[in-house]
Amino acid sequence: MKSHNYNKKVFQLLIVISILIGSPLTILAQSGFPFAFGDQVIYYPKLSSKTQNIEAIKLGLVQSLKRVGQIYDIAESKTVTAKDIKSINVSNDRIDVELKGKNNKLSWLFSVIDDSTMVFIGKRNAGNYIYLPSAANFAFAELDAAQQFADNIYAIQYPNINKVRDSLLTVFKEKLQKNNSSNHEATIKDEQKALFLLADTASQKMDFFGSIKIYNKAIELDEFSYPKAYANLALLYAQINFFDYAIFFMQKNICLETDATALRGAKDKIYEWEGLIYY
Amino acid sequence: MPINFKHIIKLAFLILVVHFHTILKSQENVEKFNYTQKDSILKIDLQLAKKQLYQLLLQNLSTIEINQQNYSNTFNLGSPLNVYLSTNGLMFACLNNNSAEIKFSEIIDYPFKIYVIENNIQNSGITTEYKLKIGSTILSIKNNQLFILKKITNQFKQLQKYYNDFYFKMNEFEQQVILENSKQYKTAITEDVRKCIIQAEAFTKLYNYQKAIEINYELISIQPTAYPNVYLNLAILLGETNKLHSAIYNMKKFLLLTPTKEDEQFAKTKISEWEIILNN
Repeated sequence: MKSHNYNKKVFQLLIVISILIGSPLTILAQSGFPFAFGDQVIYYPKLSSKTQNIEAIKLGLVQSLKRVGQIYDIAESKTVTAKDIKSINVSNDRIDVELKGKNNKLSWLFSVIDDSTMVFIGKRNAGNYIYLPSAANFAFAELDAAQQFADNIYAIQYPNINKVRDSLLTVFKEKLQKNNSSNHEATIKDEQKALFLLADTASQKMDFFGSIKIYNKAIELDEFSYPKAYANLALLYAQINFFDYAIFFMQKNICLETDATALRGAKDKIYEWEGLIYY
Repeated sequence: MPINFKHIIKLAFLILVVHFHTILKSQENVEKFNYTQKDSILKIDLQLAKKQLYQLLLQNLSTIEINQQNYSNTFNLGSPLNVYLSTNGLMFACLNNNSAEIKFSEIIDYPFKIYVIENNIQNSGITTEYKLKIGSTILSIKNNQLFILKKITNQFKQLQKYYNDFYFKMNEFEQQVILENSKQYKTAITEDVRKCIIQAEAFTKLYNYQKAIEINYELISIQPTAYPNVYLNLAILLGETNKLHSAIYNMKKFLLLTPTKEDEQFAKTKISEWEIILNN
């Protein structure tokens, strides 16, 4: 069930990204650096340390929300600006924004935030946007406030991201075991091959989002036929700074890979991305 | 009863093995003793250097002037009323309950250079001031008594040398290298160390040298001698971030870990390069 949710999350994310981007105008992409295309830049949130302190997270959220320019609440389909906000309160399980006027309040439970893939986009001279598809969208004028907000949201999400990833990998391993015991021959179908080629062409043109979409589609046809597809997909996610997805797909690649050198390379890549998340 | 030579040879061999083991053990103990002894001598030297510096400052208290830098502002605290020596550093007590502190832990990478400031005052010609900046504290000497400031600087340099020898645990490291070299098989690097190597490389590529330095130090705390190149990388990074004393100490550690001839030459050239920068 969780697996389905997660795939849904990937799908949701891709939809959000494709809506946001329109046609990909990709330039300057390097792992670890903000990913830029045209006048937009995708940032990746970071963890302040390996262990997260809830009090520090709460304080960080309050401080950054005090500098928010606009909020769009998805559940209530309501837009509020900074001048409408009366007070901001962050408790152990939710964010409450009290608005001016009677019984006017916006509330987001951490459990809802947890289940939402965050996209953080900055537009040159046009603000910084954080999209939480199942909760709300936030617009900040200053980049540092947006980064602080995103980092603290990510600190809330991070433990769950790890749990979900582990459970999805367990499901994947079980499937793999079944597949191996059924002596299913690992052959790449022509249709799949064509999609992989198409995805590679897209990535060569620096259209990483397009390439990711095609790779996901191709993998759906047969999950175990081509282990390198997972490695390529992971590298594509890393190119656009989605390191959690990159780690997840590289771990899938590790489950399938038999070549020792490739395995070593895959593990090293995971270490590199973990480093970029933590610091 | 016939003499069984086989048994005698076996017994002799056993005695020989035990004897060799005892010799090796005693050698190990001697080395360990040497390193602890060297460290205790170093501790005494360090204490002595601290006291000598304290005495020197105390003797010249009336000629010293203290300036405290706070962000972009500099405050003149005047002549200190007294100076105190503690295990952590030196503290100058000044007028109006003001004080300035020099922490020993902060002197590791100080260049200790005297700055000459010339002030052109109308109708009074040029006055020259000599200043020694240590962190946020600036010591200056009244009446152009440069020799006193030079003496203080040299004493600080002496203290810095002992402090760094102690801080970078050179004697202990030498001992660790001896133990590592005596092993038949070199220690293999663990996955944690591998992780640190990869992450340090990633941050170096991203020009985040500070993070790369932190990770390299983390690596050293896990396995100090298993990956010699960490000292070379660390030294280069420290050199790039202008921490030349730390860079030299780490490069010296790298040299102890028997590098290739090419690396050795490179390391020695780097050390002399940094020493030239520090001495000029």
